[in-house]
Amino acid sequence: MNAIEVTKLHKSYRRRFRSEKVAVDGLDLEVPAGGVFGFLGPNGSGKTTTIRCLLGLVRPSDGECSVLGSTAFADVVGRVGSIVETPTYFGGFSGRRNLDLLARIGGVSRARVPEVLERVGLSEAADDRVRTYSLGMKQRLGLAAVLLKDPELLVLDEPANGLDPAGLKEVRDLLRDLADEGRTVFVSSHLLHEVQLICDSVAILAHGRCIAQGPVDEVLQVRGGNAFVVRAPKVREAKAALSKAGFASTFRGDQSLRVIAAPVDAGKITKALADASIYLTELRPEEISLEAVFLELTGDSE
Amino acid sequence: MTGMIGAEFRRILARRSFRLVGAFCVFAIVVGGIIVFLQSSHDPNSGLKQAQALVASCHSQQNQAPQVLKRGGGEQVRVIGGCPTVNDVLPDFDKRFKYAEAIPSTTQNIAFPLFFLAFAVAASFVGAEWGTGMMTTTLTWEPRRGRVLLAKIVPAVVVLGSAVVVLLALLAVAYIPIGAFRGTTTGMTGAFWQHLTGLWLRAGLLAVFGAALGVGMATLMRNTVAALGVGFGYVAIVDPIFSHLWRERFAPWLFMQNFMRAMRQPIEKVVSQTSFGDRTVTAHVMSSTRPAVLFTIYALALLGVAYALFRARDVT
Repeated sequence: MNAIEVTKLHKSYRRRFRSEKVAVDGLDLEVPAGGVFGFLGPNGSGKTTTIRCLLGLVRPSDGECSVLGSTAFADVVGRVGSIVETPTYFGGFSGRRNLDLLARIGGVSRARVPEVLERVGLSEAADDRVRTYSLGMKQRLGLAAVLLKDPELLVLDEPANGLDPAGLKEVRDLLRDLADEGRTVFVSSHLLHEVQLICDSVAILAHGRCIAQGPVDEVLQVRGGNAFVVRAPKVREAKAALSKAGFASTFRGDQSLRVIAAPVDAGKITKALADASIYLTELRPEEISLEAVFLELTGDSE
Repeated sequence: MTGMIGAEFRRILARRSFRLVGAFCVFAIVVGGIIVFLQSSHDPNSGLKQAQALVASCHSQQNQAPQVLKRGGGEQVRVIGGCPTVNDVLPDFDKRFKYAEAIPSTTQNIAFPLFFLAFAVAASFVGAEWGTGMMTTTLTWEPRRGRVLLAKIVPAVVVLGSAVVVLLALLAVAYIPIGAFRGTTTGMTGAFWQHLTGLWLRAGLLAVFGAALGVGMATLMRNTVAALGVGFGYVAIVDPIFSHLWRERFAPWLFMQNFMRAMRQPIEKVVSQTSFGDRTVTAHVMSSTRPAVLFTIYALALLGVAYALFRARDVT
């Protein structure tokens, strides 16, 4: 069963004196239950609009969203914890009091408040006013609020915003632990390295459409595994020699080349350069990062 | 639902705008009381000297002035009539604080400012939530927007309506010592208290309407300042224009007209017509029930529109 299903979702906004703005353009998305799902895309790609549609904050212009099997978010609100952009709370109240109020609204036992504050590492500052919190502390409070409901599904929009490296690691570990407990964590983020470290599956959005989706390894393999990094003293001549041998290549920023070739062609690359009296100093398969795939995919979609 | 209403009660009571306005009102009552205390006197003849001086001055002028005075322009004016007696002018100089007269009239006069403060605090209660983005958080906890709006309306009207009654009662209680020690408490009968309680309840009910209108307007505008601007614009511009230009047609429906009537004594509904040549002027004198019904309709209509739009519009 999928925790989230989005079918042909379309959302456009009317703008005064300007043409209609399409935020999401026929998005199809399936988020399997359990595990961490990364929702990636450049700014303005439609991530937050999609999340708002899922949470019933925005009405889709067309298409359908289903959360935990229900198309009405109100029916499953008690089973879904969410953060949309930077979470906002009452600045004049303490973190603890804000959570108390939310517990009342959600019909959750207030006995959980100290428990979730402890879990996100906010116990010491729990009685300080929220307006004195740093951005990172507000994010932690947002996570505490999400955990208050003990949700099956967590929908988190940029939960790592404003966190320092230690905080990033804590949140990464927390999200991983939550997924290991059997929950589904749907997280949108622009911190691709973080996403790669914790996500089981990802979807990449561009211009309101999903351009890649699946387990992280599969998404990486789609574009990866077919390039080498070649370093040689005469990089221009090396490029010309490789081109003559039928290998397409591009300059990298560090006096090396990115050569498109199958893994079995390593010997042919060496020979082509040696035949041109160019002796390479480095030849290695290109490391595939989610960031590289992301940039390539979103660049292709321009 | 009860948990949500409870949470909103706590929120409005903790709001800085509510506390500041409340503190300001209490401060105004205290400062007003001190000024009244200092300017008043327990002596029934406190103004006797001033009254005598005025009468003496009048007699002196009468004696000295010629029967016919010349003005600068050459016009002749004849002085007609004698001077008033000391007893005639003494009430004008009586410095005693007449509690039974002053408190009801003060209550009637401050009802509108209190109504507008209720409107403003209620508008800020909802408008601030839109401004900070807290509404998004709230809706992810309770997506049924009708419930969210109801949970805002109930605490706003209950707290602000009660606060106005409490403030007016505080005013009445705080000024009793001034009446007792620096004036007179004559007239403080059972009927007086009944009348005063009626005024408090009316002012409280009007504050309830003010709070409901404030919540409705801020829900529509999604912004405190815009809601206050619309409210102020109506009171300062729209209502006076309609009142002056089309009084005959719109008087029974205009807000300020009805507000003033709501704070007066219940009066029999009389509609009189006076003819001036071929023109007929209709004077609308209404009972205080009419404003109550009218304001209920206005508040419900505004809240109905606010709910419909709140339900339909995206929260971005």
